[in-house]
Amino acid sequence: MIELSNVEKVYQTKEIETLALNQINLKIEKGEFASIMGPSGCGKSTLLNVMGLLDMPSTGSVRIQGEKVTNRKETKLAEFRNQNLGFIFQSFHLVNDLTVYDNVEMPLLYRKGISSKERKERIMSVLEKVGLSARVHHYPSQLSGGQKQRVAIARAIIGSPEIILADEPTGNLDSRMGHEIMDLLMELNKEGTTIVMVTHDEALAQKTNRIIRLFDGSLVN
Amino acid sequence: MKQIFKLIWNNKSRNAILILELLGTFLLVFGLYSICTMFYMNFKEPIGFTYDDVWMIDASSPEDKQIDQKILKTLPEYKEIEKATMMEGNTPFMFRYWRQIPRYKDVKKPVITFDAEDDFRDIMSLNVVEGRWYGSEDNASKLRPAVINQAFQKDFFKGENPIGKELELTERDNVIIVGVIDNFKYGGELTFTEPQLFIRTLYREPLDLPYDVRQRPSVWDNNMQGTAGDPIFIKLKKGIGKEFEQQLVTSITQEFPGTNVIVKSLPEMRESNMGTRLIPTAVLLVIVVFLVINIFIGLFGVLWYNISTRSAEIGLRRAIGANTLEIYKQFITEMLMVGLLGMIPGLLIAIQFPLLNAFDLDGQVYYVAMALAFATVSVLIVVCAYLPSRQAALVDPAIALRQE
Repeated sequence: MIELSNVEKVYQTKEIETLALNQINLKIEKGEFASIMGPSGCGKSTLLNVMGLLDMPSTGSVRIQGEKVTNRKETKLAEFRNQNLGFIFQSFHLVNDLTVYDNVEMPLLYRKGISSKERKERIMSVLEKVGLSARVHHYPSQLSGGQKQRVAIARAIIGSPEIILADEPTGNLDSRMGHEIMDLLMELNKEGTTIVMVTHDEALAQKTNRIIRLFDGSLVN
Repeated sequence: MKQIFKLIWNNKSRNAILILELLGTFLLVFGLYSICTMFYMNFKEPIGFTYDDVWMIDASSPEDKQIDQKILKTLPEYKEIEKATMMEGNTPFMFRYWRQIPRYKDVKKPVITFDAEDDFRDIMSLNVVEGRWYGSEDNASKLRPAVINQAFQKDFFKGENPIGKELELTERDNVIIVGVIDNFKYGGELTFTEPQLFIRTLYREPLDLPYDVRQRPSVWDNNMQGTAGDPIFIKLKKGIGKEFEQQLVTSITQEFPGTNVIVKSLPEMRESNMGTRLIPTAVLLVIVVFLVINIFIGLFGVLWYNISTRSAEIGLRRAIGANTLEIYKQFITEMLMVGLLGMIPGLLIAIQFPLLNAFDLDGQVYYVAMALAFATVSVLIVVCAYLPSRQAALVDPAIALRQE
């Protein structure tokens, strides 16, 4: 599903060169729920960004669904992300001036050929799935942390992506909320969605199919 | 679009100052374009007379109220002068708007009025389009002959043939129309055409005519007649240059001691008139440019601020599928919508001008000015939004998403 070969990521400034990822060779299978763990600054988020095509590797290649996606043009990458990837972030990244409905709708705005009727049906369906159908017209400021993350999950799955990349999705939530969100992700995984999740929480990581450990930009296994 | 509008609407208080600034700029630009459009439309219309070899003599004497007429009688002696005439009322290229209120049937309105001699037409090369200019053939007429312009014809006669029709000037004074000229834009190219009436006046020969050739409105007589004479216009023969001016002044002052004589050429007067008319426009232009610069800086500032506070949102949009062009378009569209919120009230105010027939201008002037102001402010917004939007489009999603 996702295949990284000899991936290296180097951040270069005038003074220093930082090797964020070092010779990463990794394969995430279809339907897998993998978690990435490691100490702060070890390159977890960078690895997730490379998988999510938000960042390009300095060397090496990334294949998603068998297609080599590195070196694609920016517009093609954006289109690919929209069609195949869903993102969940620790700080939710909801647009505060838009309602729950509008936030969830956002990925569909960048996808052609969806009628407004279909869009509405899809939004209502995913909001029901995450248990927020009663909060359609609320603004993010009117929601709890857990509800915000549910909105973010609804937004991630609205486009029916095969892969969800979650960067510490429970990091800003209390334990109970965190487990609720984890249950929701596991449910999505059961339905066939491949999930890669960065986490610091060992207990949550244990619930996933595989734990990928990183240290100083290298895989540790 | 709906979402962008929601974003703007939900932030309307934050954008309020900018919206007000844009409203003010729109109205000022509209005002500037209204004046420019009016000038342009007026300029396109022929001036209707020639002035190249025409000079004006302005003579006054504290002791002699008839000095102008006396000088006029001496002018045929000069070989350099082809023709000379005198007029009263509205002097070419000077800011005079003497009006009378004639009536024809139910139409009664103020019109620009000239008391002009028979030779006035030849000196100014006025173009008669119907009938004829008045002259000695009208000596037997029972009423004062008069000529109107086409604007007068349109306003008073509405398709009816005006030749031979009587106009009531006052209860005791009627005139008969003998001809129609196309136009006489005596105020210069930048003025608009108004209804005009030329009434036969004779200064030189005290003819025994059935009508009074010097019949003037009492206000004019009481207030204006006195030390200042009426202007005299002379048409020079071809090739007469500026050196004749001093010669003429010297000659007149020698013949009529104590007379103050000023000679000006009409091209000079035209130039001076044009400058005076354009000064207010130039002042407005400076104000508009100043405001436009302010708006430019304001828009820039607001956009830079927006981008700095919304970089996480930009990163998110990039992550979920927006490409750089779409981000760029979003910010330009947002700014155009802010502009619309400022310009819509501006348009509502501007539309009142043609509806209320403000300043008696053709409605077309205002409609053209509205369209131009709308386009100018929109272009200004796009230009201002270009760099900040480009900056937004280049935001690195991976970095932007790390921001809280």
